[in-house]
Amino acid sequence: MAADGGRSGIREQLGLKLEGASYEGRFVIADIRIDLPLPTERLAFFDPVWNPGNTILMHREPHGIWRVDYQLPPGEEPDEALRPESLKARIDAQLAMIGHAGTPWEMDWCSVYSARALTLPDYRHGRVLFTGDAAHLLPIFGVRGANTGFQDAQALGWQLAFVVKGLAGQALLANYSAERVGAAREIIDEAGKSTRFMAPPSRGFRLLRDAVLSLSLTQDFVRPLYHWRTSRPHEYTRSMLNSPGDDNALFTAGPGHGAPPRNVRLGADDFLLDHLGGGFELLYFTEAAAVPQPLQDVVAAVRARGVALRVTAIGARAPVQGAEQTLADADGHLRQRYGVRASGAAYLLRPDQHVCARWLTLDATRLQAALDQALPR
Amino acid sequence: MSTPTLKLPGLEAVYDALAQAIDQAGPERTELLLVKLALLNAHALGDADAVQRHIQAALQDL
Repeated sequence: MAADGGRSGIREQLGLKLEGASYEGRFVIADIRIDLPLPTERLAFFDPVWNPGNTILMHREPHGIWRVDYQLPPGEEPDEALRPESLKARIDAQLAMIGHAGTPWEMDWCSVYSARALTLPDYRHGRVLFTGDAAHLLPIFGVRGANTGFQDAQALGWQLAFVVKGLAGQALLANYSAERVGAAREIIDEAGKSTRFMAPPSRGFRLLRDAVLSLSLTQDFVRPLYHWRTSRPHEYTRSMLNSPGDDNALFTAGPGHGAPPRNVRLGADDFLLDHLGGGFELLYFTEAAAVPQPLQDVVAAVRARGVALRVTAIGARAPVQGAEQTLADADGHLRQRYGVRASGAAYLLRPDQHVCARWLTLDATRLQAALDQALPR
Repeated sequence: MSTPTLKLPGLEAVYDALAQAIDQAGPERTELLLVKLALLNAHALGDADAVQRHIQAALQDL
């Protein structure tokens, strides 16, 4: 598993090329220990007096740390930028600009990065699987570097385990690559827009950025243009694990193919996602006393192969026979959020909890088909 | 270009108003003014394809 970071030696030794765009703007990223009486929000400064034409970002981190990102003038080399005198002068200038000149601070960590939006086109090369920064380099404008690493790990963890255990074939590893390359490309597309705003690569982009900033003081419609585009989770809409024979297209609400599940509050400090995780999940919506026997037989057979599959009954007041847990959903909120109008509907979630099938009325044949689709041999 | 929706008196009024706004903004701020105006007009037009066609038309014969 190649998880050896942005300067991946394995990637280099295999001679693999990243695809995408490199932007010229270089930034110093510095974590400083300082006590500032400012709220926990991101501050962006465009074309400030002490750093004309460039951009500065600041936000609070845990444990008394503030992160300061400042763009370097064109042509300045990283070695020069990271000299202690240079760092001190610029951070002092920033603190002075925001009215906190002289507040004591000390350096915790610093580095230089350039805004790159690159990915390998395939994360699987023979027996090597790439993940995290070794697989892709994402701009910070989107806050998706470490987050995407975690999501890669979540995706690779279950799929590699299922292949190693012989519960699925190598196709599942090809799927890992296809799904995560797709996620990286979506992030690159969105973070690229943010990068062109934060560090305009040309005169035209700078002019548009300045026009949007100027308009934004009075015109609400331009404000989404500088949104960080980070809040929408990636959906594996076209995953080969999605069941082609289910009722996905017939639902009018709820998470569709490849989407993460919607969390629903069930009670005080009690949420749907607290009850899920660890394997495949079948959410079966019923008011009956038991899960139909043919469905129980399919569940038992797949478990006998060693596949973790939990059945959660939703909508019945008493525990449902054949389900490991029953959620009453007394107010119907969960059913509403999942677009379920009648008993017999179901969702199948993969071990990473993304939806791979959903039915208005589930039967044993289609449950078996969905499990076969999600675990290609 | 599509069917005109601005009759001559209106176009003449825009002509004068634009010229005066450019003078008011001054040479340093003219580009900024015009880009802001283009974004406002695009928003009001509500048709990104039409804006693309207008951009191509404006690029001609510079």
